[in-house]
Amino acid sequence: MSTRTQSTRPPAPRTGRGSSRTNATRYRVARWVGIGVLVALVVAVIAVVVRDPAATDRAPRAADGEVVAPSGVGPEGSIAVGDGPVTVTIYFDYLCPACGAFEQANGETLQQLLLAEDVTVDLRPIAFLDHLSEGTEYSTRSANALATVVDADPDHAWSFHRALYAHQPPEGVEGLTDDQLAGIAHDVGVPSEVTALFAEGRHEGWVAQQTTRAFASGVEGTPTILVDGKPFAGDPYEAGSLASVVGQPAP
Amino acid sequence: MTLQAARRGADGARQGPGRARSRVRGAWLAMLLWSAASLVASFVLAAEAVTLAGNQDAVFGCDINAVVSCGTVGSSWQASVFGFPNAFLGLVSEPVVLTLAAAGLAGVRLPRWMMLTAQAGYTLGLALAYWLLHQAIFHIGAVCPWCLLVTVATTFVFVEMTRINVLEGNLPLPRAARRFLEEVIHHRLDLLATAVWLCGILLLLVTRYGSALFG
Repeated sequence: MSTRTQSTRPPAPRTGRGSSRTNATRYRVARWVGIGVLVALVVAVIAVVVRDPAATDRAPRAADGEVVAPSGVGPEGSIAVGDGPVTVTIYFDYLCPACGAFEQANGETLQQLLLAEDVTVDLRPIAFLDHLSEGTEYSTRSANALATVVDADPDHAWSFHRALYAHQPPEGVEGLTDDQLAGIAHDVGVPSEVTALFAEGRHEGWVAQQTTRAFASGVEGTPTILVDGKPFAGDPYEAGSLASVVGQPAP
Repeated sequence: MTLQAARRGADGARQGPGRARSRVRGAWLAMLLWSAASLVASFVLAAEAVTLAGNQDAVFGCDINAVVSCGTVGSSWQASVFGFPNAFLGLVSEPVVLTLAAAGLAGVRLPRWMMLTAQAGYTLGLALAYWLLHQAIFHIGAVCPWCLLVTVATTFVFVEMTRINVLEGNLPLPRAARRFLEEVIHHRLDLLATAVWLCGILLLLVTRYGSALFG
């Protein structure tokens, strides 16, 4: 287009307004520069989308992408604690404030039920709040830490689980570091050769898989509490409400 | 086009009245459509805000993953900067802009003070939209599709409104600045700049979130 107008343009600029023509040229140049920038941006966008297999903000881990289930978990990835007749399944994210509230209200009750061998607690850690810990992916790292303990030192899984809630960070801050998680585990009796594995992130792929699976199976948020596979009917945030799941005749 | 530009008289870059008028009509129409889009998005966001107020853990159709999530963005404090959901601002302001655009499209010559007030108000709206986008990208860590539609629509309404105010000579600008803006519009550099700007934002989004944006 510019070449055509160039050729039909009168050869000499108008008298007195010599800048008019240079102006027009300047704007035409600006247009082509603009189009060039636009094309470069579009190419850059396409390149980023095509090249980038997944969004990763944090430093990559050795086991990235690999799905390694901790030993001893059930076929659906359930972490069974205790051996009672009633199964209480809990889907949770260690960063989720409502899960912390549930633990406050019913953690001690579950502990008593476990001691009395009335229930089996089926822990389902998932990680869907990773974006709320300033890029440190606390949900994934804490769930991985639990999985690591389940794999290597299952006897301490329950107390570690409770200790993680006792130290639960709020949403929107950096969360606890792997070292801090190791410290918490160490305090409940997990040996340091196990806690040293946290930073490897061995089970992070499994946590991701569990998260996808949970949402695919109809979990809509956390905590989701099932009693023998059916949604818990009581108020999960009422202190001791879970005590009602035992001692009742099966329907 | 350029030939005409070269033939322009001593008055500089004033365009023929017919061309300027059709440019203005096009701008009114675009403003009408984009403000309608922004209104729809505001309505959806306002409805979501009401749902979220009743149920903190409500899940929406646009909660696609950790990165694209209306719920996450909607429950942030930034979503109610002034103590009520931001979308309510869109619900009260976009119909005004929509009405102005419809009137302009119908050929009404709106008084200068009205257009200047609209420009001032919408500039504030644009600032809010981009502050929110910045918060969503860098602090909330998630984006929501309807919020992005509001950002894009607000940008276009602002550009169209500014174009009308330049072409109709409403803005109190020095002559040289006005001439410059008229040339910019004449060469469609305003549209090009908008496209570059929006592509830049898209690039920022994809580099920060990668393909997670698309599912």
